[in-house]
Amino acid sequence: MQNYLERLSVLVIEDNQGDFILIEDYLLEKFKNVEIVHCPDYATSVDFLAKSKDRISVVLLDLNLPDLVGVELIRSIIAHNVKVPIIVLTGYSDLAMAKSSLQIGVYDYLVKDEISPTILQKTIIYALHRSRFINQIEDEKRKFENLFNFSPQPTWLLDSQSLRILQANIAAQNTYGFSLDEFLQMSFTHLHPKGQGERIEQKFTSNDGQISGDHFTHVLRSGKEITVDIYFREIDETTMSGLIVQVNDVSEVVKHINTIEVQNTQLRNIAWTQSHVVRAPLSRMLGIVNLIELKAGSFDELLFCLQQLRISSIELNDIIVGIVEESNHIEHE
Amino acid sequence: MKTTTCIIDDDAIYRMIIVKMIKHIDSSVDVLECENGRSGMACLERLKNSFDKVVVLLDINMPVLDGWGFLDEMKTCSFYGLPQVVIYLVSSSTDESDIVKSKGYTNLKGFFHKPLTSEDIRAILST
Repeated sequence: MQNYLERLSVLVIEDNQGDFILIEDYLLEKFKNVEIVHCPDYATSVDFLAKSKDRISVVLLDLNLPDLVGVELIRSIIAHNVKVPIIVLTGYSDLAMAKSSLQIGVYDYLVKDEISPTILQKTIIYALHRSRFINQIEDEKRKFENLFNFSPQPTWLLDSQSLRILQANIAAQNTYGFSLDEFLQMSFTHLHPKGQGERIEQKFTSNDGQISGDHFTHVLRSGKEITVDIYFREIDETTMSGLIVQVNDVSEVVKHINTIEVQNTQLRNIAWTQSHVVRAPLSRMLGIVNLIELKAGSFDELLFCLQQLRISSIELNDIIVGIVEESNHIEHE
Repeated sequence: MKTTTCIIDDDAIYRMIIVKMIKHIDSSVDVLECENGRSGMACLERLKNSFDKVVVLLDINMPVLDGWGFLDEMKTCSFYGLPQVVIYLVSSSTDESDIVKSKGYTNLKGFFHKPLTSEDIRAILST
């Protein structure tokens, strides 16, 4: 604790010159590499913070300034100074307020009559350590919130017992048309059509994290139904146990597959027609030719064969026209 | 030995052509015409006690009872496996799957694509 060598920059907001000099002395005694900025009132402090708050590592704030005092002062300074720890300087008379200020974002408080170089040093260093941890946690939290919120797929956090929605990301709000507040009033089963909620409940308890192959129907706020694949994972942390649920809208895919299957059936029908139906009159015609070759008999016989050829030709033509129509039908779908 | 040919096919013109061709090649052959597998079954039932050689020309695609149905039902009939009964599939189908499927029937003697040429008919009658 003796030699704090890191560069430190302290903003002291204090209107009492005597108090300031005392604190300045203590700071210089305990910190080798310290810059001290002195602002005597709220106005100049805000002015300074607006210009160069990045320079400051910690703020020491007297609660009785000529232009602003107490809780309002604390709130205003916090509003101008997001990340740097604020330590309140107070007399015995304001002790209660100093204590309650801890709840609105102040890191610590020092009673002026009790300040010694060691206490001041310790308070500042602890505040700095704590603020570093808090910033780290805040950063991590933001990172995970972004991961959750900016996932392009609708994602929810559910209570694993009741399946109540605890959180819904932006994609979920956009896709389903429910606001976050509306989601928070709902259970996940509400997204399913009436009577189908039980099926999803069973899936969630089956622990088969990927509900594969099984499509589910979800109802949007507009009443429109979509077909979805549902993926989920249980989170079992000390502070909570929940389900992360992600949904993939496969309505379009399913529609395409159905269309393709209908077309495949039509194509199979056409192939079958080619093989069985088209060839029937054609083979008959060839058979008639075979017959003529075999026994080019009387004129009557030849005339009969030609009549049969005409019948088969007309039939063949009709079949081919039918196939062309069916093929056009596929293209237009 | 006398030969009886049984044409099982729903195409009347095709049957007429084959009848004429068979009669031209061998006028001693009796030719019976059946328009579907069901009447084909009845025809074979009638012929089972004759000592004639029976050549069946069986179409695949027919109403009422098709060629495959005929082959399946035959297995339960008293005339199944008679040595004098010879069955040929004759179809306008060139579908590979039909040819593959026909290999699964041991009571089939062969598979011909329509139209039958006079050489085909000679080969069939000489078996």
